[in-house]
Amino acid sequence: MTILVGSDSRILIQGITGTTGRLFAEKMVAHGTPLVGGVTPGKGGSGVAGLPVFDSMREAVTATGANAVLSCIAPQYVVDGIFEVVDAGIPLVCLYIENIPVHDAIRMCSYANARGTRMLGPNSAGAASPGRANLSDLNDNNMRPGRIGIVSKSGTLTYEVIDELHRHGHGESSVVCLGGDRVIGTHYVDVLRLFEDDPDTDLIVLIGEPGGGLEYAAAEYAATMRTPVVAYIAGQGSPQGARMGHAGAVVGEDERSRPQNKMKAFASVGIEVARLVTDVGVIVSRRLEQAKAS
Amino acid sequence: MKLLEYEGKALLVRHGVPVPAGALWPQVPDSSNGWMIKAQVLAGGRGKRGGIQVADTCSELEQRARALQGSRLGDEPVHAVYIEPRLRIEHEYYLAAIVNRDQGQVSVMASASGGMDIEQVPKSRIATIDLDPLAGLMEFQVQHLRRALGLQDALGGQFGDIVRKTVATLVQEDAELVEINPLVCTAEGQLVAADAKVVLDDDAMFRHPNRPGPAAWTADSRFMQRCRELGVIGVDSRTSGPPPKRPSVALLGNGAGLTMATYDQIALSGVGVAGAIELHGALARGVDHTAEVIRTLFLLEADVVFINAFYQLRSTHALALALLQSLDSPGAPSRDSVVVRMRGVQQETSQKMMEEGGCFYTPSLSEATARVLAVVDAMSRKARMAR
Repeated sequence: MTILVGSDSRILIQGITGTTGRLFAEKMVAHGTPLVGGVTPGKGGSGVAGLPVFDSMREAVTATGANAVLSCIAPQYVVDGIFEVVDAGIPLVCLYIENIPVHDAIRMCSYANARGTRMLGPNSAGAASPGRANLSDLNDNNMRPGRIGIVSKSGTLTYEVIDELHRHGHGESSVVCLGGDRVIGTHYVDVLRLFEDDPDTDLIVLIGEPGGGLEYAAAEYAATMRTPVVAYIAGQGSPQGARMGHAGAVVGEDERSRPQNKMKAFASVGIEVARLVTDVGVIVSRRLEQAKAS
Repeated sequence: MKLLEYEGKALLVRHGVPVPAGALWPQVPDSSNGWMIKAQVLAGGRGKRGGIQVADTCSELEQRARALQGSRLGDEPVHAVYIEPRLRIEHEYYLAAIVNRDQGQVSVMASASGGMDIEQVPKSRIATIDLDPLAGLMEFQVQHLRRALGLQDALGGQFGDIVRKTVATLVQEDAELVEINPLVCTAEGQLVAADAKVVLDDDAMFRHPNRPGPAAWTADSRFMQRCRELGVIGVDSRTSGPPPKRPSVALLGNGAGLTMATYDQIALSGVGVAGAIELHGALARGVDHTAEVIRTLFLLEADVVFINAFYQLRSTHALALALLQSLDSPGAPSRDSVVVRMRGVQQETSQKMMEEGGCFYTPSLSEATARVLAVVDAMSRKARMAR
């Protein structure tokens, strides 16, 4: 089993005829991700990577039975685009683009939540289940099927942790990037719940960062889980007030925004916390041994 | 980005929130009750540090404003001096509209205990409403805040009006925070925004093309200004606290998470970090542009340069070319003080280029970190021996 995406996914790319959309389409087809088509208004009837292009989401869903969308459209069309995906009743959409105004993100997340669409992002690197489906910007060659789940806001830190896991002989069951923006559609807790119910995930690496407080709810829930969690919170050394690249990753005046306090929240409920990203692999191996022994 | 008080108030005025009729020194607004002289700085708590003064006469005003102009308040330069007619204060309330990140909603907070740091006010004294963006601000929510603050009749009407206009300011100006503290009730029975703290959304600048850039930016370091011009994210640690220990390290990373983690690898080892650049997609804009970004990194004048890039679908070839180009520029650091970790499509080509160019290369973050710390260590020892 996998979470969010798997062999039974039927994926559409929104904006499939654009440069980014086309690249993703070719990558997905080349690596066996179940892509079923794409949508670009005005380009209906054409094709990309041997797959059909539709004028609207509703048409595409009717024709293909799609159940997931990777949105790769230009920033000025994003709000309308996400509303269209939600309106078509698609249960999962990944919004890859960054630098979306926060008030737009609020509207999109609210509409998606109200209508039962799970939105990853904005500014999400996507979700992938290696060997089955890849709705992300991760390179299929850099992933290895395995039994560790990853949930992270950051894409690049996910790459780094995957690299760490491989160096220690582990692979990934599913990988989920929530996005680095201030307001995002899917939270750590939502993904932890899915992993908890996944029999093919033995341990979860949770990657947090400064800003906001979504990690606190995650720590509270992680304390109740059967599946062990290892946490790593980036940005402990970041100067206060500096925007570290993610719009959301700012160590604010608010105590809750600080990585050190997030680390304490995990540690206080018995969740092991890695100090450096290069410590994650060793801790995961040890934690798995402990879990096996008990 | 944070705005100065007078910039924030200008936005409130556009949406009809009443503010005192202020002016930037040396202009002076009319007043029959003396003036407030207010240092324009971003940091909070300026009143306690002499940043807010009173003047009863024109000569007092002149003298105090002149002393504040061009001075510093703590670490921060006083960007401007703002003069307002002094209010006759009956009561101080608190009102703020904020983007509530974790809930993904706009929240409005109000309290009858204004005029102090809201963190110091007990939660029981703060009334909060959350706005469903699909429904907007509802009248019953405004009523809830009015009742919580005990505001009735004409004052209650004014308050409701200000709540609606404050929310409009937040949403229409694309702000993350609009805080009015205090919201003053004057002896004349008028509610007036006596202070304003506004934080705007950097990502929505394109929707407000005619809005001037924040005044506080002009005090930023050349490094930060250059980063902004180049569309990358800069962090100048030299200006955000005590100066970093020497030898210091300058970092270049791609992606926020990786840049932060790289920062931690160095800073948590007790080595000074002068600052960092997150490439923010700069590579897509070509080799010359990226080389300019790397030259900007050199403005931090750090002793060691640490490049850490991890791409999934992109080749690091352009980054390697840009690095070599920038290292040929005048003022570039010596190549033995450069540590490169690059991962990407066809990274072997980049490795060869780096090694032939005389830079240390490794695909491993652990090894790269160890190398940076070793170079710093060798420099420290050399410096000690020289003394």
